[in-house]
Formats: sequence, C-alpha cells, structure tokens
Amino acid sequence: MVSPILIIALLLLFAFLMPLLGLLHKRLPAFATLILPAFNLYVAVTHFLKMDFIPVVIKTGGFRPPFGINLAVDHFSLFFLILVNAIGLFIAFSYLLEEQDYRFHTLFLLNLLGASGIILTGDLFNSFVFLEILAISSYALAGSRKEKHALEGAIKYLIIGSIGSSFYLLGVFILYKVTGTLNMADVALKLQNAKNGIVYLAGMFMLVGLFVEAELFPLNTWAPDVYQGAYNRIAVQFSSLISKSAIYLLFRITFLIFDDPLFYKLLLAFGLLTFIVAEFNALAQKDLKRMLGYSSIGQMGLTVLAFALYGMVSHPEAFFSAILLTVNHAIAKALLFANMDNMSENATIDVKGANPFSNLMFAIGALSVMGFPFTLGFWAKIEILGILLRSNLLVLFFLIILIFMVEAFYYFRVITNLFGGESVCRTLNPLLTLSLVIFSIFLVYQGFYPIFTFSWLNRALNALLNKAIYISIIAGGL
Amino acid sequence: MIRKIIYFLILIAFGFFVYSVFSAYFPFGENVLTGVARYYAEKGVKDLGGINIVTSIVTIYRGFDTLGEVTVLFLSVTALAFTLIGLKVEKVKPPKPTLIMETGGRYLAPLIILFGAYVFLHGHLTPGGGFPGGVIIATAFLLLFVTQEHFSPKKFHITITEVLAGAFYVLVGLLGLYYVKSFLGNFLKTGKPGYLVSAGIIPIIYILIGFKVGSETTSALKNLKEGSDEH
Repeated sequence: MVSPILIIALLLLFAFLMPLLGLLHKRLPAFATLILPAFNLYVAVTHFLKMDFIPVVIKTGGFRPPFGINLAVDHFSLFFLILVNAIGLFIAFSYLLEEQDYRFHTLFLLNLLGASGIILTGDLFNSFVFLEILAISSYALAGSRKEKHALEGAIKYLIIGSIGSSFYLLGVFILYKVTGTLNMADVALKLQNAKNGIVYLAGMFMLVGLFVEAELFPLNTWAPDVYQGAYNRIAVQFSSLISKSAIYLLFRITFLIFDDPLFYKLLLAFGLLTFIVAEFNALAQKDLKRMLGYSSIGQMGLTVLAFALYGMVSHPEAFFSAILLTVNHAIAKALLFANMDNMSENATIDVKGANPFSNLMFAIGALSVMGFPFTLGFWAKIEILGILLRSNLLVLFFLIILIFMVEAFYYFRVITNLFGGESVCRTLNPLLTLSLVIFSIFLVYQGFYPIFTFSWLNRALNALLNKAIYISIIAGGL
Repeated sequence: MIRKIIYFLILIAFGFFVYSVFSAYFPFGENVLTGVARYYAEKGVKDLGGINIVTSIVTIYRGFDTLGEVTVLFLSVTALAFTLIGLKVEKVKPPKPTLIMETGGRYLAPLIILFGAYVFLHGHLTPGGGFPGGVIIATAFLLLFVTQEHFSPKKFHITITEVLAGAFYVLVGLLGLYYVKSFLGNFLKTGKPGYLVSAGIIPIIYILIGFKVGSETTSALKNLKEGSDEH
C-alpha cells in the first residue's frame, strides 16, 4: 500500500522536472505524462479494494488536524480519483505520439494534479489552492490552439474563472472567521446546529466559484466556444476531467457542511435551468463539436439536478443516480470527443460518414449519453425517472421526459446522417483506436451487466453518507 | 455610457451589501484569537523554534498550501511562456542607455541581489521570507534588463535553477515523509530560538523558495522581453 500523498508529491516533482526532460529528449515529456496517471490509478485501485469503511487521515507537516493540513481518503474520494485518473490515462495514451511542446505536457500534469488534489484534500483552503491550479492550467490549455473560437472562449473563461475563484476564497474566509478552523470535518462539526445567515452567504459565494468549473448556467458562457475551438484532447479534458473534479467538490461540500433544504432547492433550480437551456441550444447548433459541447453542459446540469433531488425525497437514491450519471457522462463524452479526430475538420451535423469504425464509436457514445437500453447511460436515466415517479413529482417527470426526447432527436439526426452517407476511409491512429475500443466495450458490457459499476458505486455512496464517522474520525476537537 | 453608469451602481450596491453584512457579523477591532490561530500564537515558538510565527505557519503548519502556491507561480509563468509561443514580439529599439544608467545599474544590481538573499535567509527571524526575497532578486534582473544594452541571461541557467529549486523542495517534503512519517514534516532539531541556524527546516525551505521565485520571475521577464521559443 503506497501512501496517497505520493500521488501529489510525484506529480509535482515531475512537473518541476519537465523543462529538464524536454531539454534531454523531445519524446520524454509525453512518456512522463503516461507513467504518472498509471501510477495514480494503481494507488487508487489498491486502496479502494483493501480499505475499510473508515476514512484514512494523512497528516502533512507533522501536525494532526485541525492544526496541520490533512488529506482525507475514503471510498467516495477514491472512486472519483479512479475516474479522473482513468480519463487522464486515456488522454495520455491516445495522444502519446503527438508532437507537442514540453510546456503543454507540464500544463497537462498540473491539471491532473489540481483535479487529484481537490479530490484528496480534507481542508477548505487547500481545496482553494488546488482549484486555482486546476483553473489556471485550464485557461492555458483552452487557448492552446490558436483558433478564433478557442481564444475567445479562453479569454472569457479567464475572466469569469478568476472572479469565481475570488468568490470561493471569500466564502472560505467567512467560514474560517465563523468557526476558527479550516478543516472540512471540523467546520461541519461546528456548524451542525448553528447555521446563521452569514454561513448561507459563504455557501453561495463558494457555489459561485464551483459553478464556473462545473459549467452550470449563468457562468458557463465560455464553455461552448472552448469545446468548439480547442483540440479534441482538450475537449475530452474539459468534459470528463475538469468538470468532474469540480462536481466532486460540490457534492462533498454541500452534503458535509451546508446540508440544508435551501441549498438543495437552489441547486435544483440551477441544475434544471442549465439542463433545459443547454439542450435546446444543442438542438439549434450547426457545428458538431459545439453541439456536443452544449450536450456536455446539459449533462452537468442533469447531474446537479439528480443530486439536488435529495432535498425533495431525502433518499440516497438521488446521490446514486447523480454519481452514476457522472461516470457515464465522463466515459461516453471522452469517447465522443476523442472520436472527433477521425472525422473531418469543422464537421457539421449533416456530416457524411467517415469510416465504419468511427461511425460505430460515435453511435455507442451517443446512445450512452442519451440513455438508450443496453448501455450504461440507460441505468442512470431510468434511476432518475424512477425517483421522480415514486415521489410523485409528476411535473418535473414530464418536463425531463420532454428534454430527453429533444436530446434523442438531435443525436439520432447525426447518427442517421453518419450511417446514411458514403464511407470515406481515413487512416486511424492505432493507440487512439485501442483506447476507444476499450471504452466502448466497457459502456456496452456495463449496460448488460451493471453489477460491477453498481457495487463499486455503492461503496463510494456509503462513504459519502457516513457523515458521522467522517466527522468523528477527522475532527479531533480543539 | 449609460451601461457604464449602471455597472458602477451595481458595483457600489454590491460593495455596500458586503460591507454592511460583514460589519454586522464581524465588528471591526475585535482582536480575539480563536480556534487554530490561538494555538499557533501560543505554541508556535515551542513547537518549531522560529521566532517569526508567520513563517512557521506558512512553511510548516500550512506548508502544503505554500507548496501549492509555489506551484501556482510556476504554472503561471509556464502558461505565459506557452501562450507566447509563435507570437512574434515586435523588436522595439529602446533608447540607448546613458553612461549614468549603465554604470549605476551595474553597481546597484549585485547589492539588490545581496539584500534579497538576506531577506530570505533571515525569514524565520525577521519579517520577510522566500517570496519577498525572490521578488527583490528579480527586480535586480529587471534593472539589468532595462539599463544594460546587451544583457540577456542564458535560458539554460534559469531553467536549471528553477528545476533544481522546485525538485529539492519536493525532496525535502519526501525526506520528512521518510523520517517523521509526514510529508513536509520537520525532521531536524529546532535549536535555540533567535539564532540564525535554528527552526529546523524552515530556513532550508525558504532558501529554496527564494531561488524558485527569483528564477521564475526572471524567466517571465525574459519571455516578455524576447518572446518565447519552442525547443
């Protein structure tokens, strides 16, 4: 068992050494980006299989929490760590042979560090620092391709993201002033039955910071431009890695600290708004990548909506469906965006087929996002509809069914165009093909036998729900 | 024009809202240390042996955050260099520096560097530390960039400095993990408070941060002056 602190330490060490590796040989940085996600994945999986249900606290600086900073590792954080690093490995492996400057690989590693750090840390200010690392590397990656839309999206993202981060910091400051500590579990313990107005204000401020990264409605105007203009690997990163780590922090903080009906109502409203606006926008798009980008935003909105249903039904099923949606969306969207490499440049929605293989990949990814039977997405969406029916929220039920139909309409439009056209055989990148095949097989196989995903997900869910154990283990008391 | 006025009014309203809320909940002038801050103020010197408690908090108690902040600086400079790749910097011919500027800059720069080194070496005893020390050193290089006509430090030297400083910082953390089972933990004797060689690993970390910040900022200045190159 390797200590998870090594994940962060080694990522940092290699990021600092990157200029030297770039000087030694042009190919070395790309291989370094391949080794580290694999190592992280190994650490995360071994911990996930061998750990008890009691969270493990890892001190830094030699002082116990709340005096020092700690990492809090439980099954919920490990689950997301596995997800994020699997996506990182997918990107690094698929594009191993691309010619890129060494600084690009440095930024990629630091992005992965920000995501892993957010997931591992158990400290509020530390989560802000990692959020900054994640955000700044994202700005630079979004503008990495000198293209009109990408640069416009990057500059919008830079401005919105900086302001959002400042708000997050202001929220953390207020919580520190109220409770006198920065440790998440400790803050939760002190606020358990003493919430006043200023704590709600802090919560709103922190949500503003997280909404930017998680691409939720009013703060996501940058996202479609970035998705349309950036390289495909960056689009995969935005849809499956950056937003997923922000969503993790949103889940954790909301459930641990601000566990309150008001917050769930707020999240429900914004999730629903995001979902409706983004899906109708996707219907109106002409550019295929921009359409996929809007679909990504819509799925993030649906995830937050599913999470916030907990406030209405008070049953952990809502969390279950939210996490399942997150996993499904990460994998399916990685498949779709990476597959855009096999299509023509600036493909529109009436694109005529590229070659049979990439058509099939697009179809599997799209079906899984839609929630078609025999794919993983089916289980996630049926779960949400089941919750809504059981708790008699019929208006919301029919609204969501309507939006699902809109989603199905614009995806099927593209799929019929793809399979209806003449196939043009393009050369395929062998590594990319291999990783696409692995992801698509996973999606279909889990659609038939979802036992594997469900069992791991349930362990993660139990760790999230055992708030009392988390707090009692970590919060030592002053 | 009317839009600007509306934006300004919104800003004023928001500022007033934040001010009124904060002054209602946290009245000004209540200097009561609560929570962890109180522990740091009472036990800081005994735990770590640094007289400057701010330094102890920054490097040991919250050392993980400081490593993160150093990473943010490194990341910003890398992102700047990465964004500048391929953009041609217009070679503006600056006016030829006069004799006074050239001689003054040449004699002042080493003294400024010396002062910066003093600031980060005495971080655990006097106000200051790695970050201000590093920036002071970078100002010396800025002076040289402006006053000397043909001054251009070699890229390789800057790269080696920043790589080694960053890598050694992480290695100090890993040594802490090996000796006291905690990343960035203090594995040296704390010594007598008030002496130059005291306070465990705080001076070591600050020396490394000073080098790292100085070289990063100098690298950013060089990139802005001469443009970034791919290799």
